[in-house]
Amino acid sequence: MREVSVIGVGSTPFGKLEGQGLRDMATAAANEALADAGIDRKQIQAFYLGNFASDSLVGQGTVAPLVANALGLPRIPTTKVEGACASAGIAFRHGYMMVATGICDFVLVVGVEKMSSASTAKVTQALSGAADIETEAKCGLTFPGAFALAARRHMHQYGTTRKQIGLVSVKNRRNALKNPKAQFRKEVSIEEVLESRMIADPLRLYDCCPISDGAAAAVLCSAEVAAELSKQPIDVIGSGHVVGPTTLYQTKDLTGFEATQRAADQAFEMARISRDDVDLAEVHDCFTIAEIIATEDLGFFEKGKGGCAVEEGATQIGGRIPINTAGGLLTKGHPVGATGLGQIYEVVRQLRGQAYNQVRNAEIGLAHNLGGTGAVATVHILRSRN
Amino acid sequence: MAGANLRDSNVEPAPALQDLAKLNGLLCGGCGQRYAAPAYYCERCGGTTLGPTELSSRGEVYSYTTIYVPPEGFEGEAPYDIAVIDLEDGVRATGRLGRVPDHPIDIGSRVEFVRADDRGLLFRPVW
Repeated sequence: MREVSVIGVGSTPFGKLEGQGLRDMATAAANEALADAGIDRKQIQAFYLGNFASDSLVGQGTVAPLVANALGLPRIPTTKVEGACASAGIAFRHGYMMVATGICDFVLVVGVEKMSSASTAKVTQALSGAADIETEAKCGLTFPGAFALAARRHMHQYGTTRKQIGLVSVKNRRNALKNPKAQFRKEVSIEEVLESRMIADPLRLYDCCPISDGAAAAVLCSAEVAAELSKQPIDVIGSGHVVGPTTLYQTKDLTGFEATQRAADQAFEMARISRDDVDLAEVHDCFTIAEIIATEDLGFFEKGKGGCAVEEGATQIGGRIPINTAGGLLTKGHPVGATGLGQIYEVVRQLRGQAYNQVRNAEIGLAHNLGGTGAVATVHILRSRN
Repeated sequence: MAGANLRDSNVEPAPALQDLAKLNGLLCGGCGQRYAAPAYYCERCGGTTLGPTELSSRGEVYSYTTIYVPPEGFEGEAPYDIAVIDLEDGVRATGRLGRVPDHPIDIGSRVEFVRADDRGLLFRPVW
């Protein structure tokens, strides 16, 4: 197995992108990544596309070949990867493996989702398909509802407060102020979070990520070649990918997601670093409580201490471990199939010193992508060469 | 059958001696481990022969939430409660939780199974 690096990243803005379809967004992000990498698209040897629900939302299947052809990629293997909200993280993992194994020298990975053109009914239907339709979706449980169940349990078991949970939203909103690609660029106060419309008790509107359109992309190559091509190659030093329970009733402890814990252990073992070595992390904050749980599952804080950590400022820029410096899913937006690569985009830019909301001396970054209610997770650890 | 309206889930608490409805689950033919449906594989012994069985009809609330923004097909029925229930036989199940006026529920509240229908499982609080 050889070392793998990221030499190019690209992303569209995330949000309601009027008039922009799957191909518009995917090609914009991919072209930006290819230009960033400085390689000819004809050098790409495999293409992975993360996408969750294009069939349901816009009626379009066969998305990987469609996008590959729109991009002018050569006649190479194309693969669509689906893992609910972890689709792009899984796509990135597969791109990584194709280069690590020596099968390919250059791989392009893109994540894309078009959600705003579908009716609300269609979107909720598609999203509920990420849960088990025979059991939990059947009884009217929504995604906010599933994470509300986790939140209530976390509050009961660890004394996590409603305010601590809400502070995640305040922090991420503030982090996105400088991000021109973020869906929301306006702060909210903790009072506004706690008074916003109730969605699924105890989670309110500002505890939930929005419906978004968007695409993000990355170009991967061997670490050896990266040195010649890029002034700032970013090495993938750890990668983890694991399945977890697909329902809450099959989850032993609703205050944590086993898939995240195991994927993190895999990635850290591969990277041979400790949690303390990580300078920043993009974690899967589909809901405020999900960020708190993720920081514990990833091992940055002891189980149950994630809420206190937010309140104490440990996850702010300048804190012990800055989390979601570009605003997270809550504020940046969550075009489901693109999110995992949106995280890679931010981590790479941080490690290059090019971020809008820069963490000082960022050398090692982590990206965590979670699908469904803990059904699948990926964790990637990246490092710059200083 | 028309979709059960979740507002009908406002139910009376069950009298103590009333016959309890049967909650259908699965039993491993190899080791006897019990599961909520659907299940095709036994984690405990690796068996793949699971047959029908009756699970406990009573349990307690492990966690619960009130849905205010319903998904498609549940319009007009919110707010309604969903709970993850720890049944007495150790099996966990997710279902709707009927409301009893003046009796709020919390983690640990005792509940019993009412029925299964096209909206999945329905439980109600008991005293």
